[in-house]
Amino acid sequence: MKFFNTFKKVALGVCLAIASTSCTDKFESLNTNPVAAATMDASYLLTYNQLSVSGHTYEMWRGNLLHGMVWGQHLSTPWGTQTYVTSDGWGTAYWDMTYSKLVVNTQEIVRLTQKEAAKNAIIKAWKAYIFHRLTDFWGDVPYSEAGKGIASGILQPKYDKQQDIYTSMLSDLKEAAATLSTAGNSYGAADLIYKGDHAKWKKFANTLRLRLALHLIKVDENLAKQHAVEAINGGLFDSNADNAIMIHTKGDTYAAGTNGSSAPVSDYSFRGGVVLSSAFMRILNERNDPRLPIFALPNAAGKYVGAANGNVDAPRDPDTGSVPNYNTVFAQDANAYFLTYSEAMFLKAEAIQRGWVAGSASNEYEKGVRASLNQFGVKATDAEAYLKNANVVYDASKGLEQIITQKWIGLYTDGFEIFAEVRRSGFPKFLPNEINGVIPRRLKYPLSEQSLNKNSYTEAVSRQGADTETTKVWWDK
Amino acid sequence: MQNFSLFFKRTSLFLATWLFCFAVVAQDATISGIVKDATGETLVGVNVLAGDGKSNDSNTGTVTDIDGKFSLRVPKDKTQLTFSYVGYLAQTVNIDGRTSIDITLEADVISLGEVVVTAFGIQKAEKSLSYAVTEVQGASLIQARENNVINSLAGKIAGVQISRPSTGAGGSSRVVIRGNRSLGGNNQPLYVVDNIPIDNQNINPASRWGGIDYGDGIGDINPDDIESMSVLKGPNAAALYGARAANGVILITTKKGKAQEGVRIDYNGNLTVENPLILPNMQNTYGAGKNGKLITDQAELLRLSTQWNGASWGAEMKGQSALYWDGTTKPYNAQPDNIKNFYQTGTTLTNSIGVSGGNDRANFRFSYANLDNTGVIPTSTLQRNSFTFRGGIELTSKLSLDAKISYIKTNANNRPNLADVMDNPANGLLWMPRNTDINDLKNYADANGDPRNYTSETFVQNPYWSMNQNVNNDEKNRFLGFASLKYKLTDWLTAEGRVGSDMYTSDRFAQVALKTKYRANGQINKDVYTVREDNAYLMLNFNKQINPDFRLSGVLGTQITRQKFQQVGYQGSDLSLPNFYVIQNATTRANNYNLVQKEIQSVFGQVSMEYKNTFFLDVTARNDWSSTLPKGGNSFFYPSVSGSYAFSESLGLPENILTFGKIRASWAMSGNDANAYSLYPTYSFSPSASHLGQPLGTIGSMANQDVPNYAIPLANMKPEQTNSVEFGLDLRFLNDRLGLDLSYYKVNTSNQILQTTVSATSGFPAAVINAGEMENSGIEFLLRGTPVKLDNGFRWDVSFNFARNRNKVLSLTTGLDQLTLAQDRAVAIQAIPGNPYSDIVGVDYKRDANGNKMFDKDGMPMAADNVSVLGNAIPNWIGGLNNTFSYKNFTLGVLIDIRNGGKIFSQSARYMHLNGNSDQTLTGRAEFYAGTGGYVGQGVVETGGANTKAVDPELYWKSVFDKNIISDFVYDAGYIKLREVNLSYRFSDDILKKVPYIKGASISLVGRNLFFFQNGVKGFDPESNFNSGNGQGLESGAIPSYRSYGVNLNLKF
Repeated sequence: MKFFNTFKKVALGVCLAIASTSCTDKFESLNTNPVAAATMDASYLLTYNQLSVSGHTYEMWRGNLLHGMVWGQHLSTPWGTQTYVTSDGWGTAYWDMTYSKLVVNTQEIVRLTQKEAAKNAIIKAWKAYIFHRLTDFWGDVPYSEAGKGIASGILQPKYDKQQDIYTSMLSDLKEAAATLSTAGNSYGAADLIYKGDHAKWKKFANTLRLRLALHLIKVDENLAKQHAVEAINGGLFDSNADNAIMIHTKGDTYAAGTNGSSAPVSDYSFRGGVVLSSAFMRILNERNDPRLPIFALPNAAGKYVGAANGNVDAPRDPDTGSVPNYNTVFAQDANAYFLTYSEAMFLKAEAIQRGWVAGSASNEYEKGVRASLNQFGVKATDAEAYLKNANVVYDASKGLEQIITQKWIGLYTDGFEIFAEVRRSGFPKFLPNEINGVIPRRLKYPLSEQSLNKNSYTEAVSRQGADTETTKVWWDK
Repeated sequence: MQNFSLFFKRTSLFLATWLFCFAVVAQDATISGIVKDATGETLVGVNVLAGDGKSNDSNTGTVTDIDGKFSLRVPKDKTQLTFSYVGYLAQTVNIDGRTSIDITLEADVISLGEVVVTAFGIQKAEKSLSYAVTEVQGASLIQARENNVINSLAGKIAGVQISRPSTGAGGSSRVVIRGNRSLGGNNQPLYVVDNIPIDNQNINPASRWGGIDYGDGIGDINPDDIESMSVLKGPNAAALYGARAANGVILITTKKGKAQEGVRIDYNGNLTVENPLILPNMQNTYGAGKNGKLITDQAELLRLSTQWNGASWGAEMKGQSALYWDGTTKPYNAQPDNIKNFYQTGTTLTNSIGVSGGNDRANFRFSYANLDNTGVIPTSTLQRNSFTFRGGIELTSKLSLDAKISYIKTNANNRPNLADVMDNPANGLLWMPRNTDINDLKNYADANGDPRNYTSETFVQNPYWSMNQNVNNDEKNRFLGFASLKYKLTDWLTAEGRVGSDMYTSDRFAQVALKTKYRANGQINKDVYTVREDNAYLMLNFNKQINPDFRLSGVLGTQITRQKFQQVGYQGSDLSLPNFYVIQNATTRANNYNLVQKEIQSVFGQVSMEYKNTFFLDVTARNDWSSTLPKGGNSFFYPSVSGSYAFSESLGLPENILTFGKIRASWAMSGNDANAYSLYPTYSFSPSASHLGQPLGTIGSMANQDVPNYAIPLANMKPEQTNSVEFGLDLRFLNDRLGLDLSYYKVNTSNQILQTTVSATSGFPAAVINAGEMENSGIEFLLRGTPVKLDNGFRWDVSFNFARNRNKVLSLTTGLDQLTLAQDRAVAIQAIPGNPYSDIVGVDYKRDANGNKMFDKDGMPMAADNVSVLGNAIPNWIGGLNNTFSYKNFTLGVLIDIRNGGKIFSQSARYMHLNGNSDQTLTGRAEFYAGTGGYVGQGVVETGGANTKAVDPELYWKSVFDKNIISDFVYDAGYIKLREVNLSYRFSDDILKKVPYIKGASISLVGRNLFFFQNGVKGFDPESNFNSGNGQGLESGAIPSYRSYGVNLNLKF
C-alpha cells in the first residue's frame, strides 16, 4: 500500500500544480444547490401547509372523494371503492401526500417556532386538524415519530395508538387555546386562514376540540364530556365570519377545492361516472332542501336523482343521475371549508341534547341550519321556510338524528368528517337498497407500508386487529 | 468557459496553419508506385515510410491512395522504404535509385485485425490485450443504418445487450454491458468520442404516467463520421476513464483526413422505408357491445371502452345492421386492419458527404449529413443535420495539433407520447371496439370543435386528436469538439494537452388543446435544457523499447471534468384563446428553474510492460476527487492489474493447427461518486409559487403539481466500490480459419449510492442510502470461422457470439426488502436480495400446494393473498449469429440476434383481455353465448377437484383485471430476430474506369429488424419497454417497433 500512498501524494501534487488555486476548495460551494434554500421562514411553510390541506386533485379525489364521500354516502361512482373495499393506490395517494406534504412541514414549523408561543400554539392546533383526518381514516398511524426523516433520521416511524393520538391532539388543542389567550407573535398575512387573528385561532382550537371530543362518544363518554364542556366554555365559532376557509380563485393551481375534495374542475370528470348517492338525494328531496341546486345538477329529466352505493350496477351518468355541481361547490374558485360555525352549532346542540351543558338544543340546531344555508348562499327567507319543513323542524325525541343529519348535509365535500360521523353516530339512517352492503369502518393501510415500514405496520396490526375495512378503530368500538 | 475559449483559439490557430501548410512544396527525389495484395487487389491506406536502414523517419512518409498508389519525396539520405498495413506483414525494400517501386504485401494470418483502439486512443496489438475489447469498423454502421447508431451494434458483440425501447424514430437506446451493476443509478456505458467523454443522458424520460423519449446523447452521432467503435467491456478495460466507466466504455474514433493526392470525396445515400414490425393480436369475431349483444342506445354505446364496460364483448359480427358510436347505422363488420391502418409507411432518407485530404504534414476532413425521417406514426417527423470539421497538422517536427468540431441540429415534430397516458396513440387504439373503422376517427373534431371519439371515457382519446391537436416539437443544438496539442519531448516521450466539450440545448414544447378530455382548459409546456460537459487532460505518454526483449509504455495524466445541467421552463394552463399557444395566453402559469453542477479532478497512470512479445502486464491507478462527496471524504483511489501470456509460440505447434493462443487475467477496482447535492437538507418554494399573494415554502422540494420529490440527504456519503476479476482465453486454429475468444468475469459493486423509496410517514418519498451490493458473473465467447473458402472467390465467414450473465442482488439496506425500479398499474419491477435484478412482481392466481390455479365455486379466478415474483426481465443468455457470404463483387451479410429467456409484463395485453379485443378472449365465447359452455379456468376448485365450471369470458377477464391477477400477461421475452440483412455489390475497377471522377462505388439492399423467427410475446415486440431506464420488463401502450428496408449507395470521388 505504500506505493499507492506515495502515488496519491505525487498525484495530488501534480493536481495542485495544474490548478492555480487549491484543487478542491471550491467543492463545497459547487455542491451547494443554487436553487434550494439553506433556511426557511416558518411563515412560508405555514402558508403552503394550510393550502395543502385543501389539497390537490391527486390525493383529494382519491382519498376524500373516492373513499370518504362514497363511504359517507354522499357520492356514488363506478370505481372500486364503491363496493366498500379500499383501493390501495387511492388510499396510498392520500396517505403519502398527507405525510410527505403536510405532516413533515407541520413538524418542521413546530420545531422552528419553539420559542414563539403563539405561533407554536397555532401550528399545534393545525397539526391536530391534519392528524385527526389520518387517524379517523386508518386508526393507529405514525404520529409522534412521523415526518422526522431529516430532523431525527427516522425512516420507519412507529404507529401510535389512536387513543394516544387523541390524548395528544386534545391536549395540544387545550394548550393552544390557553396560550392564544395571552401570547403575541403571529404569522401575519402568511396565515391564509385567519391572517394572524389569535382570537379566531382560539375559537378554532375550541371548536376542533369539541369535534374530536364527540368522536369519542362511544369509547369514553366521560372523557368526551370533559373535553366538550371545556371547549364550549372556552368559546366556539360565533358566526360564519369565523369559518376556517381556504379561499380559491379561478385559475389557481389549487383550484377546485372544496374542503379538499378538489375535484378536477371539468364536467368531463363527472361525466366519467360520479353522481350523488341515492341516500343523499333522498334526504335532501324529503326536506325540499334549497341547497339541492347548489350541491347538484339535475339529470336530463330535470330531477335530482342519485345512484345507489354498494355492490350494485347502477347507471351513473348525467342523463340518469345528478352529478355534483361543478359550477358552485365544485367550481374552480369554490372555498374549501375546514371547520365551520354551522358545525360548531350542531356540535354544541348535541352537547346540550346529551345534557352536558345548559342551553337550548333546538336553538343551536336552528343556528346551525341557518349558518349552513347562509354559507352555501341560500337566501335568509328561504332558510326560514326550510326550518318550517316537517322534516326539519326540531323534534327533541329524535334530536340527535336531526342534528347529525343536518350536520352531515352541511359537511358536503368533507368526506373525512361525514365518514367519521356515520361511524360514530349511526346517523343519518340509510335504507338497505341505498347502501347495499356493510359500510366500512376504516381504510386498509397502504400496501407499501408492509414493505417499507414492516415492523411498525406489523405491531400496529397485531394491536389494532386485522388490517381490513371491518376492523373498528379505537373510538368506534 | 476557459476551456472553451482555449479550444476555439486552438482551433483557429490550427485552421490558419493548415492552410499555410498546403502551400509548402517539398523538395528532393520523388518515388512513386502501387501497392497490391496477393490477389492483385490494390491496397488503400498503406503506410509508406522512408528510412536509412537504422530507423524510419516518420516525417518522411505517406499512405497509398484509393488506387493503391503512392508518391513520396525522399531525402537523399534515405535508402529504404518500409510498407506497413494492418493485417499484412510489413516489408522493407532498398530504393537503389529507383523512382518507381511496386510492392505486393503478404497477408499476416495471425494478426488479422491486429490493432485495436483502447483507452485514450492508444492503439494496441490485439494479442497484447489482457482484458476484453471488441472493435467494430465504422463501415459496418453505414449501410443498414439506424437513426441511433448504437442500435447497429445489437447482436454483434458478446455481452453487449442493446434494447431499443418502443419510443419512436428518435428515441433512446438502452445499452448494458455484462449486466446491471448499479441498483439505482446508471447502468449504461460511458461514451467517449475521440477521447472525450460525451453526455448520454436521456433527459426527462417517459414514466408510467407518460412522457416522451427525446433521445440520448449517442443517438446524435453521425455514423458516417465513425472510423471505428471499440467496446471496452469491464472496469478492467476502463480503469483510465474513471468512475463512469465502471459500466464499460464505448470508444468512438472519428474519421480524419489522410495524406493523399488531391481531395477525396465520399458520398453515401440511404433510403429506407419503415413499417410496424408487429401489431397487437386482436380478435375479429365480436364487435362493440356487452354480454354478447349489440347495443342500441348511443349513450350506452359510448360508455364502452372503459374498465367497467369493456369494448368488444358484443354480438358476433356478421354484417348485420348496427348502431355505431357516431350515431350512424352500418353493417356490423370486423375491421381487422383498423390498427394497422392508423400507422403509415415511414421513410428515412440520409445523405452524407465527406471531403477529406491531406499531405505528409497536415490533413483535414469535412462532412455533412442530413437525415430526414417521416414517421410511421402520422404527423411524426425527425430531421437531423450534422456538420463536422476535423484537421490535424504537424506544426514543427515535435509539435502537432489535432482538432475537431461538430455541430448537430435535430428537429422533431410530434414524438409520440408513451405509456399510460391518453395522448399515446397506441393506447387509444387498444380500446377501440373491433368493428370501429379507423377512417371514421380521422375527422377528430365536431362542428363545435369538440373531440369526436368512439367512447365517452375520459381517459381514452381519439389518436388523431392527440396527433393533430396535442402536438409537440423540439429542437436540439449540439456542439462537440476537441483540440489536442502533442509535443514530442524525446523519441519515447510525448506530452499531450487535450480539451474537449460537449454542449447542447434541448428546447421542448408541448401543447394540449382546449376541449381536450380531462384537460379541457388547455396546457402549454416549455422546457429548455442546457447541458455541458468539459474535459481537460494533461498527459505524458511514454513508449520505450528498453532492450530487444523488453518494452515499457504508459501514460501519466491528470483530468478535470466539469458538468453543468440547467433547466428553464414554464407551464401554462387555462388558455383564453383557442389555438394560441403562448404563455401569455395562459391564465395560470408556473415556472421551473434548475441548475446542477459538479466537478471531478483526477490523476491517473498506466504502465504496460511487454516481454519477448509473449508476456504482457498492465497496471493502472487512478484517484478521483469529486465535488459531490463530503469534505474530507471526497477522494477515492482505484487500481487495476492485468496480464496475459501468449503461449502458442512456446508450444511450437504448427500454425495450421494452433495458430495462436493466449490466456489473460485481470483484477480491477472502480469507484463512483454521488449525485450533486445529496449531502445536506434544503428548503424550497413550490413550483406554484404563491397563493393569494403569499409564497409557498416547503422543506425539501416538490415537483410540478406539488408532488414531493425530495430524497433525505446523507451527510457522510462514501464512494461506491466495484471489484472485478476477469479471465480470458484466445485461441486460433487452422491458419486462423477458426477462432475462439472466451471470457469469464465476476464483478461486485458494493456500498452503492442510491435513492430508495422510503415510507412516506418519514415525511419524504425517498432517501439517499449508501448500502447494497450486487454481483454479476458470466461467461461470454466469440466463435468465428471460415467454413467455406473456395478458389473461385466464394467465401463464407461466420461468427457466433454468446453471453450468459448471472446477476444477483446480494443485499440492500437494513429494513428494506426490495427496491422498486419501476411501477405501473398492478405491477412493479423490483430488486430483491437473493434474486437477480429486475423481478416482475404482482398478484398471481391463488394456487394449491401443487401449483394449480384455484377457482371459486362459481368458476371465477381467485387471487393470491400477496404479491409474488412472477418472472425476471433479465435474459438467460444473449447472442448473435453473423454470416458474411462473399463472391466476387457481391457480399451478403445476415445477422441474427438472439435473446433467450427473461420475461416481460404486457399492460396492453392485460387491457386487451379486459376489453375483449385480444384474440385470447375468444376462448369459450361462442359456447357461452350459445349456452353450451364458456370459459373454463384450468385448475382446481377451492373446495377440491378439477374446475369444470364454465363462465362468461367477459366476467372472467373482468374478474382477473379487478383482482389485479397479472400472471397471464407475463410473457417470455426471448426472441430470435432477423436483425440485419445487407446485400452489397461493389462495382469493379473495370466498370469504374469507364466512368469519370468516380473511383469507387457500391450499392446495397439493406434491411433491419425484418422479422422474428421466434417471439414469445404475441402481438408485441419483446423490446417494448416504454423507456430506457432501469425498470425493464414492462410494456405499456407500446408504440410498435419498426421493420425497415431500403437501398444504400456509396460513391467515392
